[in-house]
Amino acid sequence: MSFFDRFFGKEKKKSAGVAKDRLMIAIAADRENSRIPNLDQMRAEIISVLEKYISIDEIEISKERKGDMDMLEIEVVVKSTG
Amino acid sequence: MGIVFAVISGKGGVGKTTTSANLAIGTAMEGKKTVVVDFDIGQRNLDMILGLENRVVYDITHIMDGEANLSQALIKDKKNENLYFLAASQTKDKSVLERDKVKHLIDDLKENFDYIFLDSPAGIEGGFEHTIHYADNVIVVVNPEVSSIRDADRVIGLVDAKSHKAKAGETVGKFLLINRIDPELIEKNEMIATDDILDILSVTLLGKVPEDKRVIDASNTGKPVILHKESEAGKAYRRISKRLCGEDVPFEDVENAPSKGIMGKIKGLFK
Ligand SMILES: Nc1ncnc2c1ncn2[C@@H]1O[C@H](COP(=O)(O)OP(=O)(O)O)[C@@H](O)[C@H]1O
Ligand SMILES: [Mg+2]
Repeated sequence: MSFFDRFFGKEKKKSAGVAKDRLMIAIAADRENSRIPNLDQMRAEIISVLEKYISIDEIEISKERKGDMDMLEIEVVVKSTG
Repeated sequence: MGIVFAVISGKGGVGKTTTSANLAIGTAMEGKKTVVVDFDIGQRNLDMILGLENRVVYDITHIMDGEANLSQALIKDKKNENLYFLAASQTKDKSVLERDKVKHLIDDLKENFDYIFLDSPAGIEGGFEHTIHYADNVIVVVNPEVSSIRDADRVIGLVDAKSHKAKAGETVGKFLLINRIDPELIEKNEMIATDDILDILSVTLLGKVPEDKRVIDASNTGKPVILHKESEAGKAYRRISKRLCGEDVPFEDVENAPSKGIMGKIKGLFK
């Protein structure tokens, strides 16, 4: 700690600790994403298959993790023909 | 039957080639018949690091094309009779590596050598995949720095997905080599410590190599650091090589530079 830091009573968190915290978060997210990879491509393919049969108004694909299980939720709103 | 080690990293420039060269020499010094193969097609590098660049006649692409056989392409080190080397080509075309031919090559090497090191290119495609397809073990090289650690995690996650062995229900050994540890930064808490890296990445520690200016000098002269007796990085590679050969070598505290004794540290205080 420098004289001034001591004087003003502030101690900067050492950068190695900051690095570890940031890495833990980034890697947790990376691992999450890699469990169901290529989601964008999958989404595009699902849409193109569905559109052969129905008109789509909205599609939402979401990932969820319950305990040990990976869930993929696909919600499709069909265009009303009214 | 030989044991195959793929030396991988994700991020480039972390020390895969340096590690491949030094561990190959180290295990050869321990009496293992060792071969090291440069899989970084288009970026031939290992020949320079080993000081064997003038002896390359045929490289791995000639084997792939059937223009040379293995015994023609293998270069035998003149200083260590247990050490052999197979060069990468300098041309850019990575597509020369074909799965079946690579398998055939590695099977051949396993017949003839105890230890086989495959120096992988950076990234996760092409040459990288070929090195992990048939590896018994992977050595993940990492620097104590965020992007390198993050990329290492990604690569570790890919190993089982790509490995032939893992697909057959066997386990692939995954080992971590932390390279370029800077004792001064560790002491100031400005470099991620080994325990923290091991907390983040779930792999077994194989060894720690300190930052050492002699590594550059070694690449200038083509005489790897493991052959420099005074080099701290060289000593570290020596210990790691022994570990790879089954010797129980304790982990040295490379974080505390031995050259910088208590006096050196005190002087540092007043800088
Ligand atoms: N322990 C070390 N100390 C100092 N410099 C190093 C160390 N390890 C590697 N280097 C340097 O880092 C650079 C990249 O090393 P290299 O082995 O070619 O990495 P990669 O094969 O992963 O791209 C080289 O210039 C090398 O000399
Ligand atoms: Mg390299």
